[in-house]
Amino acid sequence: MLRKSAARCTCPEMAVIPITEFLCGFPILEITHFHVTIVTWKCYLDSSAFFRRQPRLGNIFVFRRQKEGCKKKLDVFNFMIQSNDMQSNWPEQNLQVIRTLMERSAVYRRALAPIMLMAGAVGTLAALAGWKLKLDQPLNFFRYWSAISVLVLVPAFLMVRRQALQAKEPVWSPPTRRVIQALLPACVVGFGLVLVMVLTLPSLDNLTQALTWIMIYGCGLHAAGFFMPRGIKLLGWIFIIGAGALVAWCLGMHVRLPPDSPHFVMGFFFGGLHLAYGIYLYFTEQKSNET
Amino acid sequence: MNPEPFHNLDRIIHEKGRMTIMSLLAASQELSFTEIRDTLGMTDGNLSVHIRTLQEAGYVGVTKTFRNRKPLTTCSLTRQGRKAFETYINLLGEIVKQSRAT
Repeated sequence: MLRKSAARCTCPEMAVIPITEFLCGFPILEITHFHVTIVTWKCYLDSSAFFRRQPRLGNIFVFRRQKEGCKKKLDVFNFMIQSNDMQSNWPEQNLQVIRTLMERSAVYRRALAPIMLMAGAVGTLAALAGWKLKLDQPLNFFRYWSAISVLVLVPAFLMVRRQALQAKEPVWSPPTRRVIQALLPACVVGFGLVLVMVLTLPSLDNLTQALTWIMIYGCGLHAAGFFMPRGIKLLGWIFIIGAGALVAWCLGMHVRLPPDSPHFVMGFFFGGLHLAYGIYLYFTEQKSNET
Repeated sequence: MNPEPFHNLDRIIHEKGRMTIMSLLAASQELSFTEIRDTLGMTDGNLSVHIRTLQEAGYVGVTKTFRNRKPLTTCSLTRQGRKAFETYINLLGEIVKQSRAT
């Protein structure tokens, strides 16, 4: 096959090279007392026409000659075969490039509306329950909302798994992996930082705890938004700016919110905003799938 | 050689123009009509015919909006289109494997 390509080659670069001899199908450029120089073909993917194979001046290999007639030696032959394979696996490589590009561009859309609606409903109910139960101690507040986050994460995972199984697709797909990887640092930092604050700062109030959580969660959402529908990034910004504005308002106006207000703040952000985004997705997702 | 993968190739995608459109859209979330046209060097008429064929097959979604008071047509792969293209690529992979084996 390579010999044929060489014979039909019209490449101007190759035309000036005096090819007198072939070694295992590769044109020999030069044979000296010490070296055998051969040229292999390089095939490349033309973006405007996939799988078009165009011969082009490729890699030049220089072999040291051990003694006369070494070109027939087994090691050289093996190398030729390997080189030939390397050059001729271009279809697999091209297909792999397409698959990789597809994976990278895939947007995570799995069960997003149901997850948001569920998270919003749980967040709102949890805020009401927390206010009713009067969980005002910082450690209790931390434990309560940590438990609520687990309560949201478990059914969310089950929803994603169910939808993946129904679609006969892997649960741990590349978009899922990227979203988790983007969310994880913010979740770990948020959880760890608030835990350290609760354990080391005796004067910590629940509002600071809630706002820290909200802002870091917003950062996580924004990071994950690069692999999710566009609205997620905006939601992340609403969390960050909303919490930031509340901090600025409290500090600027010297306002002290009532002790049970952190539950309502959490309820508004984790409940209300998720619920609103879930409703928005519920009415727009179907439409976008149809287009 | 088993000819089955050849027969299973999606005829809608298995055309040079449509395959390049699908490949381009598969590698990006959405692209405007002009971006596709300029990248592939197609004419407006040729591209719109291919897009319509893909749209009728349910592989490509077309959204018409306005940007700076000018109409903007954006195209993206639908879930069905992405799946069909994945199947197409897998079939090509099978054909390549078969040709290696023979």
